[in-house]
Amino acid sequence: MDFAFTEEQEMLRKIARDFLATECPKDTVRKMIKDEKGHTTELWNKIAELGWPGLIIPEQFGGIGGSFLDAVALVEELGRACLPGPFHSSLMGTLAVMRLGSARQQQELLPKIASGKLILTSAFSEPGTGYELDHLECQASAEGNEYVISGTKLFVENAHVADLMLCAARTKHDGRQEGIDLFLVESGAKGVIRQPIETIAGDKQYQVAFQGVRVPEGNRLGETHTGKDNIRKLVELATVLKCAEMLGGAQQVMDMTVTYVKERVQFDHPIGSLQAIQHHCANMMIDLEGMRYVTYLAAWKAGDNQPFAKEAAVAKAWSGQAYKRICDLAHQCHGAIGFCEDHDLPLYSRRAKTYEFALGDSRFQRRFVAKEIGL
Amino acid sequence: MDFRFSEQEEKLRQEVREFCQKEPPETFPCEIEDEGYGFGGWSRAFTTRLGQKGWLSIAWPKEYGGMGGTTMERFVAAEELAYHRAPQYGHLFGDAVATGVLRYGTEDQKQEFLPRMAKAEILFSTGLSEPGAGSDLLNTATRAIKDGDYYVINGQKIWPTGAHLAEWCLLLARTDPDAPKSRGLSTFLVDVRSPGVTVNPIVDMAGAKSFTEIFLEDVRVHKKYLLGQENRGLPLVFEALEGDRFWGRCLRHAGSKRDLEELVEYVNESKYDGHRLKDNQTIRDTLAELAVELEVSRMLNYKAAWLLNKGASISWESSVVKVLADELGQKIASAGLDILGPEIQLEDGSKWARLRKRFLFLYVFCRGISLAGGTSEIQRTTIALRGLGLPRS
Repeated sequence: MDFAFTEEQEMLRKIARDFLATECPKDTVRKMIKDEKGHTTELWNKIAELGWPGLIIPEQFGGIGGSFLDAVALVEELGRACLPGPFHSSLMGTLAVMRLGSARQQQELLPKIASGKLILTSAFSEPGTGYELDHLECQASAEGNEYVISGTKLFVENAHVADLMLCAARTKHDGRQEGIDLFLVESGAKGVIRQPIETIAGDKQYQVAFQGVRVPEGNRLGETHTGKDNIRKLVELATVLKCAEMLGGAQQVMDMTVTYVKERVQFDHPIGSLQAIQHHCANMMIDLEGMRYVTYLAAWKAGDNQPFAKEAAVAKAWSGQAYKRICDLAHQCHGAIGFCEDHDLPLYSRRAKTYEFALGDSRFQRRFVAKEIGL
Repeated sequence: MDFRFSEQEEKLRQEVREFCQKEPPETFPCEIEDEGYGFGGWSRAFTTRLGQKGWLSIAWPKEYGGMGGTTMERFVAAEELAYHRAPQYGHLFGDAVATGVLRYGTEDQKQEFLPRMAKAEILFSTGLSEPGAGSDLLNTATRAIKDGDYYVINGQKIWPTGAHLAEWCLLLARTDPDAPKSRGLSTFLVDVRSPGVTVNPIVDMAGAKSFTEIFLEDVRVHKKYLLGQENRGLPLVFEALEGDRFWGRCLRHAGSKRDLEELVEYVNESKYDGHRLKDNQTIRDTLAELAVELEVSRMLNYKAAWLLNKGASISWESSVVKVLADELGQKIASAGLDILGPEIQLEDGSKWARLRKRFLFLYVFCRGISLAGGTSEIQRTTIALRGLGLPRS
């Protein structure tokens, strides 16, 4: 048993932390919330130079060939820094191409992703359906060598800057349902209508309407039909990465709070010497430690090719609640100053709720866990 | 990162599992019943049997009757036993005492105590708290006065678990009343059958007799039973408490897993008001939430075990373990009673009160688990001070 990251992973974390401290200060994060694009090309290019978009892409496709745990280690740091931009959403698309794409699609797309020239995102959830996938309504009807996609997707991250969207749709051949597939759709294609959603976090999520969008047959991901189970696995991987991002954020909130309560003096003492504050901090720490190791367990299992659906659900169920509790207590400890728009804390406490929603909230995850424990 | 147990550890787990099938732990008589900490009841007979197997001393050096194994192996065996609800109460805290003897004891003490503890010929209790020194151990008033080769001890201890069933006690007493509070305390290995020692069980609100009080009146303890240096007992006690918090709570997830499985089975099979319980979304959500918390507790128990196995300190990690374990135990008992409903109060054996024996007792007893071994408030303060470096109040 080993609870530690490898030396290389620790190095990656340190490089990321140092890089983001200078290149992505909180003022930039705040500015990007109000910016229409939500990130700068300059920062994206630097990230590409570090090789991060290709961290988990095999070397033969121009990537670094890192493991899933490497990605988890990096994403945790990105979460700590509140990195804005399409890195996370593109990573999910990257995983889809790596796991489900045909040889031709991988050959064509992965080198471009690795170099940072191609940005992906995914369009799964719909109004009224979450991540169960059983009730998706978006349709892809075969017409000759093309599919015609019609439907509306919600919470498509960075749809405005992604080059390609992975759209989950029900395939229909001659009026017969064939199951669910993923389609690579160019964001600027005719019939794609993108509308920004004002999320609690101020991250860039979109409602995307596909109005009879035509894509060539070759844009269906994979040699054969993708299938619901494969898509679900993809969502589970994305869920683990989301937990890692939340973990990094929660760690930063913990650190900020500890620093603040040691410095803030009232009644002639640092407030961190008061038991009311100490116990708030201890409760944050317990929640944080829990987030850390249920997330790492799911990540390790995923990277080790073991079944990890239950672990991913447990991690997200806990992290969704724990991150919120941590932020709530952090606000209590910070007092009124943490309530200001230009304070760093709201960046995290707002994200905590948006991220709880992402990829299925805690209640959604517990519905899955209930089945897993035999109910 | 690797959350697999080693081959050696898995092999031992398998051995323990087979042992539990061949010699079902529930067939051994218990002096104290399972109180829901996770480590089962107190059974001299079962402890003796484990001693024969060599499983009380897995991680101790061979020259003192140990098996020369690792702390992780010790943990894995205990975890597997806990899942089978084996009674480990009688000896699990001995690990903390043995660690103290191994680290601070003289060669003679190691030779005298460890081989006998390994065979369960003697069991230990821990005498720390006093009426005026609960969470505040520095207030310890029990006095030990040097008299030639002996110390003469006078005072009162309260809450030692199983002192009425054990032969020996790790006892904290004040040897220098003039020194600053933290500098005048020493630890002794005391035979509780010595003249002048009176041990009375305390009946708790659940009707159990696991806690005791010890009265010491001119008890003569030979100086060879002073553990560690005179007046330097406190670090030893803190380490023992660290071990006590860990070993006393690190099996909660394994015990609770069984409780949860029984509740799931009950829910799957039962109807109320004509509705199947398993279709009740609130019940499903409650049990899933408990399963999530159980996983959290399990992982943090593993993390502490991993640190301990490396020889690292678990000063605040063991407090995290304890808070989570105690709250999990209370939540499962409470949710269990909500699900089982008022019929749980019907007589034992009634088909309407199938899980009565375990859950009704758990529900009443679990009020005490967040007090015993240091209250949850003390644990949170420890986490804040030692884990986060916050200033003392």
